[in-house]
Amino acid sequence: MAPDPHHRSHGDPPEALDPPDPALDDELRATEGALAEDLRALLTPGAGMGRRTADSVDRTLRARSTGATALELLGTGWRTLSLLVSPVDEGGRP
Amino acid sequence: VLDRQLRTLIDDHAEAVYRVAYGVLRDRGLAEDVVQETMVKAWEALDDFRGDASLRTWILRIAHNTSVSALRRRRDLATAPEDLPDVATGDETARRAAGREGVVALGRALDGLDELSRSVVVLREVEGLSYAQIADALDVPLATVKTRLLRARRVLQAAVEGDGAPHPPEPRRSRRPQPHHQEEPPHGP
Repeated sequence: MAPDPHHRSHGDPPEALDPPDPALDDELRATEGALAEDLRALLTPGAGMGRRTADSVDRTLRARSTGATALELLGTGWRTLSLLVSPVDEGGRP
Repeated sequence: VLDRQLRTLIDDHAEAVYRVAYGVLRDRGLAEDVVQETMVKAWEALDDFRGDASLRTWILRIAHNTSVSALRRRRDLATAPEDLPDVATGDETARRAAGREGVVALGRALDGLDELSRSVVVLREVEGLSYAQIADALDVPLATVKTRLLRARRVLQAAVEGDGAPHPPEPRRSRRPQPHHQEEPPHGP
């Protein structure tokens, strides 16, 4: 199968795989920044977004941590119970 | 008390993540959900961050992928037009915030772009990433970044100037999941 000419792996310099297009670059330069201010206004987050994010991330991580601890305790309890109820190997005593 | 390093991560990057998420999803509530999900993913995978891109680029890559996944979930769940988010809500908020009609037109034109183009626009115009950084964050060729950006700028500029946006390349409200350039982030969680 022929290699994909657009395939790019991380670490490759992208420019090496993309032939230059001066006309495209010129037009990009000419239109640079014209929309930035309006886009920024459009995409501005609501007030308090950072605090809400911090609270939610905190809750999520705490819940995961609590869940992991509970699972660990359950596993330990199960192993302990298994040891207590399993038949004792008498070691060949007559 | 939130870990200080995590708090710094959120303070430094949450707004940029929100802009990418809102750019892709065009729904403020979902965008905040994506910010939270992205921050948890980034925090949990921080030890795997290899430093071959900047931390900002790495986080924005996670944000883009998380946003696209959320967009697909929303499309999969949507069964009726009334279940789809009201795009005008975001526009209305923007109009109140900015007080400019151009912003409203820009929002509508942004809705008409495909999600990859929206991310390219946000990462370049708002976040100021280089073309190479955008290509790395979105895992697409550099030429794709440039052509998508130029096409998007033409559409958005026409909308802002009131010329009427050209026909968008991909209708946004398709019910079917759209094919996309990548499934999972190459390095991010």
